[in-house]
Amino acid sequence: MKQMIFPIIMLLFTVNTHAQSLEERVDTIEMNQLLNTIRLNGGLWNEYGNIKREEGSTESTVDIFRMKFNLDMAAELSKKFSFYGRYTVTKLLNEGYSFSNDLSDDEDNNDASFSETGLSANDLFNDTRPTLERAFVNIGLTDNLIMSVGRLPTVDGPPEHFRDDSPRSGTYPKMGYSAALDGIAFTYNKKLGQAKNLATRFLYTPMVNTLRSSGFMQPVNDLTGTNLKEISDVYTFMLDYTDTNVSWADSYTAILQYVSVPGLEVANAQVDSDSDGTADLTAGTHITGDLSIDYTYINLHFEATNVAHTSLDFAVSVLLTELANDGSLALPAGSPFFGTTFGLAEDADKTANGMGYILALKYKLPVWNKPSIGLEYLVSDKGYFYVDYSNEDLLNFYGTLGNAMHLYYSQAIGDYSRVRIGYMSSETEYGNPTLSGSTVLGKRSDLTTKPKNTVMYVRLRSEF
Amino acid sequence: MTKKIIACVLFFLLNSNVYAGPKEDFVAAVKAQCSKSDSEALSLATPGRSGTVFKFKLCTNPKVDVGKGCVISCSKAGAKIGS
Repeated sequence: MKQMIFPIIMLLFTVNTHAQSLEERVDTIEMNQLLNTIRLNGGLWNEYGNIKREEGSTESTVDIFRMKFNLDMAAELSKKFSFYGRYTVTKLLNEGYSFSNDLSDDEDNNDASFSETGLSANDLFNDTRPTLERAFVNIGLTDNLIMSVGRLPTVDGPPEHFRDDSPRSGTYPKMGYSAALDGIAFTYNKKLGQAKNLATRFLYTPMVNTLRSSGFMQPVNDLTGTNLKEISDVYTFMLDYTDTNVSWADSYTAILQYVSVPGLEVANAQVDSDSDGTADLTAGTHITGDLSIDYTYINLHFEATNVAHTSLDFAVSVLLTELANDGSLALPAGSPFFGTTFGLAEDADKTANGMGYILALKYKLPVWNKPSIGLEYLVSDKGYFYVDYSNEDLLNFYGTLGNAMHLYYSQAIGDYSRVRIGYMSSETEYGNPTLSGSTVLGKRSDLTTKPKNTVMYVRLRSEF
Repeated sequence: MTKKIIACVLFFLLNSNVYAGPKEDFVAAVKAQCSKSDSEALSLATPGRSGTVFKFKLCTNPKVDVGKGCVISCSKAGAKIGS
């Protein structure tokens, strides 16, 4: 018995040492995992497109290859803190020549200059792209109230996600304000039942207009020396309801969005009488006036997936817009307008109302790998005003002043890739005002010659 | 016998709280959207890159078929403000 005591003690000691070593190793692995706070995901698509434009007897065709890459970052450190970011790069494939549209030529041909940036391996040391598309934190103030601050996910909203069988990819409905906005948001999430959630959201996304000069931020003056507002307010209110447990479909979403941009000053517009891309600064050629615009819109969006369990997804989105002029502008006679044009009411202190809607349908075919066929149809009226700084299409589909149609076929390839073949067409029925003469900005016109655009494309997209 | 029962109970209690994070969210989604019980939802949580929890968390497809007639909706991380 005594002979066994020593080995038993040694065994116990050894077992205890081995267990501590394992625990320490697990601790190390766990800590390394915890310290890697950012998770990376990404998406890449490559596309060939053919664009045809017809305007009266004039016809032109362009072939194009292009790509888009996004790198997504996520840090979900607790239920009350998370960070999301996205870097995006878009480019034409191997871009050689870049063309500028120089109207000063006697000919209609455009000047061409050789651009090296498309072929470089980023060794020109003169560019710091990619673009920061989103970078925001969600901070839980209470269990239901979340504050979000930063560059917010306001682009790529519904129903655009139908096209690639993706989940909803942005907060703002696509038929609204399609721009990456910076600001602050407060969201109150309320569960109204099992799988039913109502998010009430308020956002403030101000526009900042300052002049960088000599290393200082300075106020902006228009060409008459009038100080313009440095901050233009933009307010958004949203009701965003989702139910993922219904008897008549897989899920449905209903969104009501109201956006207000009060007092947006336009008086810093400039004249470019020789159309060389540089504003005139000589006396007597600048625009004078005190125009500011109140822009508001309401978007109503509804979508449902697998309606009546028929593999049909359905969405309708309606945009109601209102532009109100306060004050007016006067242009020197005969000077073409340099800058952005707006479809405004023809008289000072008047209001222009507009409407556009889109109907989106998608059907999952009951064949191998369940491909989808989809249709989008858009109609807008003369007063329709759509802000789009994130257009991914080869024509301005969502901003069409008239009608537009998109038909596509989407097929999964494995678990992470999808190919989409599509046809888009649009017909522009209304023209933006052409501004000249000593007159205020004018309303849109009915075009007698209606430009038509047709696009055919093939896109291969992967998400990982 | 009593000691064996206590050991089993302790083992069950400890393991029932182990599925935190993505697995917890997955179980909650299955329970809410497919009206499954806690144990049924847990049985549908399969591991690995081709498993249901990974597909639900990565959410490259808005619908995830988790089996037993249950198809759940997922949300893309960072796509909706305040969620």
